[in-house]
Amino acid sequence: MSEQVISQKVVILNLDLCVGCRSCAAACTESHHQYLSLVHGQVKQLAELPHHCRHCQDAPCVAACPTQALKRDENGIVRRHIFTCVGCRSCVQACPFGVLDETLLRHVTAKCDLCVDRFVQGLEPRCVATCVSGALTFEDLSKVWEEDRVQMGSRIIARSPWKRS
Amino acid sequence: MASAKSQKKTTSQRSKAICPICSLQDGLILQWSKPTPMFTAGSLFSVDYDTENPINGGSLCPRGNSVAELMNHPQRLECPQVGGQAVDWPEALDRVIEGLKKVVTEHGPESVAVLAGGTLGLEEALGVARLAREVLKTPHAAPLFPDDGAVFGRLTALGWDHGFTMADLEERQVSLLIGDVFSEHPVISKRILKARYQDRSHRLFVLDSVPTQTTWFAQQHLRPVPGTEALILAALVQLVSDQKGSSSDTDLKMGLEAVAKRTGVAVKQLETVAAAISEASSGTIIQSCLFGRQAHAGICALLAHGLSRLLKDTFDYLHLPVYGNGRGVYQMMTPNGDSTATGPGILKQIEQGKIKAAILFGVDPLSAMPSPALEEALGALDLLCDIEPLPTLTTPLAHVLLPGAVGPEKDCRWLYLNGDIQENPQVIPPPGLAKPEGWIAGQLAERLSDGAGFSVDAGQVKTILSAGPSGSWMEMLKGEGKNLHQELTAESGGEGAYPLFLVAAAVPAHLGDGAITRHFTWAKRVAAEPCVWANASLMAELNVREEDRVQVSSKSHRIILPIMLNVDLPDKTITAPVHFPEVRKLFTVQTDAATGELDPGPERVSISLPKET
Repeated sequence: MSEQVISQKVVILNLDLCVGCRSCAAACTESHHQYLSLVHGQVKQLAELPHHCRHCQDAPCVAACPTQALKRDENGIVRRHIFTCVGCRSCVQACPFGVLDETLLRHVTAKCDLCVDRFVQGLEPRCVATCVSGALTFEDLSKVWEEDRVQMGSRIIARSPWKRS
Repeated sequence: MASAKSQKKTTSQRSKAICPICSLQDGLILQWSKPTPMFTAGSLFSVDYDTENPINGGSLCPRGNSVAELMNHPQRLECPQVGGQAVDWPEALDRVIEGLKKVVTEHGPESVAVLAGGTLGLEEALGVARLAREVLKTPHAAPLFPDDGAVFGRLTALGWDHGFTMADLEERQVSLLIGDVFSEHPVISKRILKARYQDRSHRLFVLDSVPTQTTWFAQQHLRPVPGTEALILAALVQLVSDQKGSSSDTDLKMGLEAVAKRTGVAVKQLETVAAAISEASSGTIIQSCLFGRQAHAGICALLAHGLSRLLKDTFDYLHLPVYGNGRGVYQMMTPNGDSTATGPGILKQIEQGKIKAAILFGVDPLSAMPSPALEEALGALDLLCDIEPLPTLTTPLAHVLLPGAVGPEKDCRWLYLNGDIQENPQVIPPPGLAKPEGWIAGQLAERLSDGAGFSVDAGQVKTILSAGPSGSWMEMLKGEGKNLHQELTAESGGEGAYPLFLVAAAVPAHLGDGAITRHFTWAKRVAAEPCVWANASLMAELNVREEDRVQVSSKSHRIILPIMLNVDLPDKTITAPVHFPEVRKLFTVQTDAATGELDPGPERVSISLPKET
């Protein structure tokens, strides 16, 4: 199982390139019946960056769900079953990254499904396809680790009082 | 791996289309399923990404992602209405003809006005212009571009001769962006940022009076006092022409020290930017202006164009909102640069009661220039015929409301960013009884001229678009520069009552006056209510916290808004999104002296605690 998940593709954000236009969020809501499955962290207009579901290897949201509405499917995507979800927000509390929005729509939570209709065709999710600045990419997690890419870009560090240079 | 269920879901019809919302004209794919027993009301659209498109390569901004919603919107106008009652087309057209004939008989043809918006196709715009000039014989026919009107006339006179492509942006060594380009047209950011991060010699400069999502990426942010952008550009023109050894008599010449004092931008910074621009082998100057952001946008356009000319063939100048189909509609509506009537001028005449009947083709005056006087005057017209795909702020006042079509529902030609005329074949018919604006203009012309009408063909469109330049930037500045020079160099006075600058902020989910985008569900979620952003020292001075309500007053209007913190804003400057009509009312409607078009710059305002608290 772990081998399969490590080779899974994930959405990667390049902090240096994001212009904060929220096209990714618009694409997500427009294609998912207004369910918003990614949240934007906002730092008082300094930066506005999207947080995506990581589809964790040992997903706390799946463990926390009392009705087993959240499950990992055969593609390794953690998905929410709309008829089983009771909108208790246990998953929202369990998510260590805060990517699940606590706002309920039609009594259920929104959950990223990596645009499974595109995923099965080998296409990237809509948030990546629509990204206007090339900040979002859909990449193999193992490749990202191999390249030893630093996930925190200069964007946040440059604003930090602990900036080195 | 694909399950049978997933495969069934993806089976749909797909067709390439062009985003009808802004001037970039991004490519997209519209896909829809045929009506099923579950969706008997109509087709179900969705947007997909056209990765082969040379303009956007598949990327879409929040507005582009909402195109399917625009076409499938529950509030779409689907049948003609007279006095709020649904009628068929012959009855609605008869009512318009009857009203027009009555007004022309009683008050003469000059009491009729025709206004057109930037969403019309080229033939449609020409048809509307000919309906006004040849059939109705009224001089009051004009396009209405509230955010950048002052620029069109000048750029038409300079000639639209560039062969710019989006791919060029990646190759350029310098990008000078004027305004919040990335927020207003996010799709353009990919190419510029690619150049910025992949080519270490690339330089990105941004000229904007407030910090934005665009200025974040700049190596040099030229941050002048709001309203003095023209002086910065004049100084750059002066420095570059000195370095290049060419002459530039712009009438805006003043010592660099004086420019620095007036604008607050250091001489050293100006020299650094000018040197980088002069030394670069290629570059792009992109201007993006918004209602209430840059003062003297037309002069800024002349200077930016001049700067690119000084650098000869290595630099391109692109005024983003103006290139593309907006330019096409402008040229169709004002052939040969004949701009005796302008959109703001016509609205002024409506306010003064000189116009008795108006036909609005995709224009919402109350979103563009909201004012109680205009609302009252529009309500007092003998005939107001509004043609729109969706309800606007003006539609409740219309005597006759005709349902229009949006881009992919029309079979027409559009003008592209690079100056090419492109076919825009119909992807899907308009909903219900809705019709393209060109068809409506043709029907009105035919009925008014007892079946004679006129035909509009591609040849006429091409002839108008091929008009050459009629002036040079330096000559044009000679006349205009002096007044502006006096205005800009004068000691700023009269600040007492209104000590702050209100600068417009762009919200990427909205475009311009928000007449179209305020219908989108996503846009409503992003900016649900108007607010004002201020820096920490101003909030401390007022002793308010975030989301407390404050009163913002200008000469023309007063409004109570929640205040939000933006720590980066300079002193004495606040920002607010201008797609809300109530925020727009704060701005004084100014027209450009040379073109008569709207030229709204930053507004002087004051801020205080509401008296109730």
